[in-house]
Amino acid sequence: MFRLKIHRVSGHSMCPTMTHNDYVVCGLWPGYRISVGCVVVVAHPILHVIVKRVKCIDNIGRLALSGDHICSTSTDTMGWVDAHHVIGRVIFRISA
Amino acid sequence: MLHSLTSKLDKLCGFDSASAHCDIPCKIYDPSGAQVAALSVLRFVDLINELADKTQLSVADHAQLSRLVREKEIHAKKVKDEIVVIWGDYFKQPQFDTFPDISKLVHNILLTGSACKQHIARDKAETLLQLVNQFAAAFWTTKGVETYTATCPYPPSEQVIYPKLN
Repeated sequence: MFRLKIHRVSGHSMCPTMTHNDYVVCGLWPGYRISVGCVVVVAHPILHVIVKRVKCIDNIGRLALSGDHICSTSTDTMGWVDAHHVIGRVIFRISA
Repeated sequence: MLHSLTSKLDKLCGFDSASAHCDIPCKIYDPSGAQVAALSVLRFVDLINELADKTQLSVADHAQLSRLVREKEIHAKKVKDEIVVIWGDYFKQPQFDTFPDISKLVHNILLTGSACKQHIARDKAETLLQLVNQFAAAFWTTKGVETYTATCPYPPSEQVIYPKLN
């Protein structure tokens, strides 16, 4: 299954990697892998659609996320996120 | 160019937004935190310059100087952070239409905030406070709240823009 989506970035918690009003192209494709350090768009159960970096992955495949900016919502606040909540892995950024 | 093309597509198709908010959007925005931080920078600059007037510094003076410099830098950073959050999270197209130069003002605040970290010149700290006051005035105007100018009732006793909330 291929899926490509464009999202508009809102907020500054991923600065300097991406900033407010940037666009990101994210996608899922057969055999895609989410690894530590990659940036993902996630349908978070509480925070809705967020863009964050994968900080670590536990042994059952859940993701811990973090922002690139110090002021980001903390990893603890975001909690563990199941892999099926991932909308896509960010593959391209269109900077504002 | 790619961004403006995507932006046009966005207007046509309406891409979903992916939040990189610093917190859960709570709609609580207030520039007073930035104003108090800017006043603190000014106060720390004054206290540093009081030490500079001494002919000889004791160990206690050196310790005090270290603390003042550290706090000055922390509060200058705080000014930048508070302003960026309001500008990035609160200001949307209607506010940008009302204050088309607001991004230029924010950029100026960020540059002046950095200058206040690098230097101990009072005029830079004064400029920072004036710019933050301008930002506060614009912010309250977007909220439909009148403002007034008063001297803050504590050192450094400088002019501050306050909202008329009653």
